[in-house]
Amino acid sequence: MNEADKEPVSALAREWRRLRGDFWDFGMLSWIPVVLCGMLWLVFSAGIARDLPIVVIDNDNSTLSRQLTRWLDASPGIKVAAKVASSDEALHRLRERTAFGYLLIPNDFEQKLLGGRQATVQWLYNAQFSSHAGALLRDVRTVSTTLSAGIEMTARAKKGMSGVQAAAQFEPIRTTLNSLYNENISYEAFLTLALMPAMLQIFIVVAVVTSIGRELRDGTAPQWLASASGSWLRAIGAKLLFPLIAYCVLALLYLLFFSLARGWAVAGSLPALLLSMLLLVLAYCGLATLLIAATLSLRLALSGAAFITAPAFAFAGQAFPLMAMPAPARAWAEALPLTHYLQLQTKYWLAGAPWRYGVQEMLILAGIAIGCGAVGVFLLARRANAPAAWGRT
Amino acid sequence: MMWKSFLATWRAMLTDKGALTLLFIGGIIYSFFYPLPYSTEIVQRVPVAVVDQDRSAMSRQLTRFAMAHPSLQVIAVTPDLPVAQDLLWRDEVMGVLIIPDGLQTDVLAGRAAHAQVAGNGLYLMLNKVALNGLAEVVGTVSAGIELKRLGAGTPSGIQANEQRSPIAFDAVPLFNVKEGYGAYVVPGVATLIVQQTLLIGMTMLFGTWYQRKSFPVAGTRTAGGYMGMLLAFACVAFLNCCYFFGFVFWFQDYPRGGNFGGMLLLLVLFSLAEAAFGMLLGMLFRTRERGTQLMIATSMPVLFLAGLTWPVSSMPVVLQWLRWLLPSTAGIQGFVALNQMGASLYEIRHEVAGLLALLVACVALGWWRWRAETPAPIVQQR
Repeated sequence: MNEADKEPVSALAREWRRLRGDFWDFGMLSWIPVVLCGMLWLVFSAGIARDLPIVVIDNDNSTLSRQLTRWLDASPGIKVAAKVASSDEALHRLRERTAFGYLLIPNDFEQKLLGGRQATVQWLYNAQFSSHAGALLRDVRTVSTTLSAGIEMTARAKKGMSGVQAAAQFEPIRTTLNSLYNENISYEAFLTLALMPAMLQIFIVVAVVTSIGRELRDGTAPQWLASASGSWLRAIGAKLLFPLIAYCVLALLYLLFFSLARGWAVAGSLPALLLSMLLLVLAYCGLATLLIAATLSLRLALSGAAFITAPAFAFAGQAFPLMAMPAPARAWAEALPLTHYLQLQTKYWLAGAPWRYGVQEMLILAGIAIGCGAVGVFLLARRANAPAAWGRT
Repeated sequence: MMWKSFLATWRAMLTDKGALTLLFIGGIIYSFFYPLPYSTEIVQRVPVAVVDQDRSAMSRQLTRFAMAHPSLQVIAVTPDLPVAQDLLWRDEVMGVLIIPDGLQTDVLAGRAAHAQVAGNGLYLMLNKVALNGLAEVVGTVSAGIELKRLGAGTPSGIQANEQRSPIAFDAVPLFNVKEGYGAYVVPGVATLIVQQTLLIGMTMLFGTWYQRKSFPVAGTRTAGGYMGMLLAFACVAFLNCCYFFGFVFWFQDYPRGGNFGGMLLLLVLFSLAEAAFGMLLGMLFRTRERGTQLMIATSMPVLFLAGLTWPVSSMPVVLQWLRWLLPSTAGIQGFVALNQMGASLYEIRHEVAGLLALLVACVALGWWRWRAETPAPIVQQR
């Protein structure tokens, strides 16, 4: 059989052989992302932090102060690890990270409250562990407010008010607080779901850059091109096909896992979410092609991949909001496909938006895919088949 | 032998353009790039909408208070819920205050009235600011009404206020007193950056040496050769940490706790453990880029395993143990405790013990691999 006969399939067959022969490269398309994403999910699988340790300095040691301590311990997010005598001891616990905050109850706590005066409790917390502290602050405040309201109601009842009347009196306008789409502030919904595509984009860029970069580094670009009967489109298409399939399957896997097994059902438009996932994979295939085409060096392109993809989550606006970023950071964030995809995912998956709310972001993703991809193919076609482009390490 | 190997390793690091960039330039670039999004540190003026279905004097007062609140920006006032929903889906508002029809009537009649505050729970920081801000707005208006009522029956305003809320709650942040987001995340990530750039650089060098079948230290693999190389790589971790802890934290004005002696000790231990870990890892791969590929992909899981952003006690038990196999776990926790919180050596004893154990294990395994790999030509000569 001569070369011409098997040309249409051979670029693909050649790539498949290369992948099968390389344990790690094949792993990067299959089990490695599954293992790493699984590990990330495991980290946050509890969803809500429970029983975070705090300590209490109870200078009053009265019925009311002990009640406050008991209520704190009973709160699901809090564990009163110990009662300590002094702030020094409490700070030691904080520095040791065996407690993340301490409540200071003053010595005249009960006396003041029974006398109808106001008593102040101080909550001192480790703000260096911001997410621990955030969860604790909410719970500690709730417990103290509940106790406070109870005392106030009792006081009014003593003055001869009925319970209903007292309740209406002491807070004329009540507030119901609602965290939309994520009632319990679960980290699984807010963080893990967003981390999965953040991992995916890393793998896509690394895989595409590696598969094209190898040909350049090893100087095998002519054979590669020949296997695609001289068509750059076909040659690059063969390189992109396996990562494209692998990462679309992975995207589907994480969609199925979280929506079916973990109960985060897709509340909005499912077709739009699926299309967004495809566009994410395509956009990063395009970006990776451009990266290797512009550098013509596997090492440089991988360094570029590290620079673009590894910190991308920090810029994507999920943990720290885009609107608070300075202009240069905001501009970089807007240039990353991940930023736009995560907005789409948030809307369609959990917030329940209909498809038309993401058209703009989808157009941006498609634009990046086509724009970067076209320039990448053009540059590779112009430069990759020359000895000057080979062997760079 | 040790010094020969030490110098040869340094020469190899400095003459390989790829390794040089990663080991010495990468950290500097990341040190400016990574804190960039967080440079404003806190969120202000979160956009919200007010759904006013009551259209009363009281609902207008609530709206005015929301407009005046420093952390909120009211971008729409509407009687229609679908309008607010539309703005939420467009990401144009992050919170909504809903004032239901009949609110003022209820309040004036002495019945309990309800206002609803909703934030977008998928953007945690914005949600918090929006919820707190809007709850404060309602609370202020509500307190005003209550104080007026109480004022009729009690002698002074102060007393009325005390009766209204018997327990005052005073929250005080410690260590990161400005509660900056960058000050929270970047010190931990700094240690991760030092680790990942070092590991990528080291695996790149090892892979290249295997591919070219030329090691910087020729001949039999001796203990001195191993030690020299270990020290050379440890120097790189040491220098990079000094740059981050000394210059970057000061430049970004992050909280600095200042247990200098303790920091120096942990730094030496951490650098050695990183180098031993990296050498063990380096001897695993046979091509120049292999380590890079894996290291880029592992950086996020490695960071979250350190327990800075998510409580260790809420991780599955098996991960609580496995995470100690990474030098970054003890490094991130230990350095944050020392540098940002001013912890004593006793207070980071678990981290010190963890790094020590890891160092011993990595050196033992690494030395065993090192000897097993005495280059082929010598074996053939025998």
